[in-house]
Amino acid sequence: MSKYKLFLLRHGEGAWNKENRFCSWVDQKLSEDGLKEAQDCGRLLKEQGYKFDLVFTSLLSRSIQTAWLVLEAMGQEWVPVIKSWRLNERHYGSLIGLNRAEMAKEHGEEQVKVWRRSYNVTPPPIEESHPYFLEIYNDRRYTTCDVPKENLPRAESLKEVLDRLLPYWDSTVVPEIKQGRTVLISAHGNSCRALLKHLEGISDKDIASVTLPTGIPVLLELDENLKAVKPRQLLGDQVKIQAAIKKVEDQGKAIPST
Amino acid sequence: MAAYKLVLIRHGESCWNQENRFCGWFDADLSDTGEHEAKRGGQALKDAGYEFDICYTSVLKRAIRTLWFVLDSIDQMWLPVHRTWRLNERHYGGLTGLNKAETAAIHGEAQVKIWRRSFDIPPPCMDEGHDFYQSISKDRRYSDLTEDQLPSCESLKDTIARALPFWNEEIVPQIKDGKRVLIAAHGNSLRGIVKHLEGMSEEAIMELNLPTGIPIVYELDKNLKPLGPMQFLGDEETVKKAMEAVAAQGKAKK
Repeated sequence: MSKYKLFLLRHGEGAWNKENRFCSWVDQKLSEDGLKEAQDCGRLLKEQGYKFDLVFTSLLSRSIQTAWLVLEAMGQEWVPVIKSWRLNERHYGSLIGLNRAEMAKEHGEEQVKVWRRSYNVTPPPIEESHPYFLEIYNDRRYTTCDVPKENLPRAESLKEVLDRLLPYWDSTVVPEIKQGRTVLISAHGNSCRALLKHLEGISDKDIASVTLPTGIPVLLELDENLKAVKPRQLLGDQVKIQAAIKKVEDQGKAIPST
Repeated sequence: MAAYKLVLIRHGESCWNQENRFCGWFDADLSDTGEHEAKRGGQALKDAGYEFDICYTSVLKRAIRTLWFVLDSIDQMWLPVHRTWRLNERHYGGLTGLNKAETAAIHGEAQVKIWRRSFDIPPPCMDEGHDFYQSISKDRRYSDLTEDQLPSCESLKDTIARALPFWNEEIVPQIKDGKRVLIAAHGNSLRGIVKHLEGMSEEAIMELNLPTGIPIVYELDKNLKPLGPMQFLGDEETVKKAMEAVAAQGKAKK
């Protein structure tokens, strides 16, 4: 019996998504297309008459921008927005900034697929010599987290994402949902997947084939124990949704030689 | 030596400011000019290298969006933001939605000036028959307010009386904790904070027009007393022009 509704949203295109590079903890803003995806999403949610009480985002600008644009389109700018590193995108370690297609060409589509889609394979950790190390770890936002900066991840598997997300879900998000609040989580591909795995009871093996399209709101109906009572619903035009899913799946493939 | 720095910013032109209508609790959006003002204010803060730890704003979009433009400009979108009805603009009651020039023609310039600029005389209340009663008083964002808290009209005194508890109970402890605070709000809720900080008289606060879209900086001692007058960030010309523009509103067309 469905008791609660929860909305998840994976932010739209950032500049690096366009270049097919692992963005992860690098703080990119949305591209023009990404801004539009967020606005379209907000318009759709408004048309369907949804009313949010609370929004959660990561500390990364692209998820926050997305949340703001959605709330703006819905005329719900006043809704509280709470931000946490625990909803950040998966930390891709030393793979951050690398182009997916080139990686696929160099290591093979299968290895890239393992790094991207396996449950507990951690990529190699980011080192101080990495071009983006300082940009990430010197950023002031990471001195405001509920763990000391030195304890923040240097690389994560999807399992490790869930390990740091779940305590936040339980302590901070669940009590709000149980008070009947309609919650939107505006986050990233992998933080959304990790949460879905938990809520829908998806196996370690099956999570590999779960792909969330960008900019498409995901509606989950939950029972009183906050477990999904039916399959997730991707809201909006189905043709658009299928195209969006394919776009994400294609990003893992190597560029075909001409 | 300043113990603390506080930054206030009054939102820029809204679509209703443009039409010279009493706005109050009506949730008017920023006009294109207002968006430009917010971005310019953000740029001034970016150029001066300001960092904040926490932000406060009202539940009205013109203030919230101003804050968002600023946070985007200074690349601090990740900052915690607290929204409260207590920082809302003054509630203009039955005058909400009325064009200021027409109101002046009906009631006279003097009465309009009293309503807009007096300290403790409230405008007529917004009753159930008012065009905006449903969309304001019954809005979901105010569902947690008690009957006593939800206003149907406010004098400046009333506005300050509901803004200051939030300042004292929520904002002051953060400042004293060393958090650098940014407040994006409205002419009259900010006047409440300014009057309190500077110990201004009722007459003096009535004469004060805070410029829009321009960051206002206070340096405070450890008791939160200002070390000097408020400073504006931006060029002198912009600041001067903005203050003159607000004072010109409310005059009836001849």
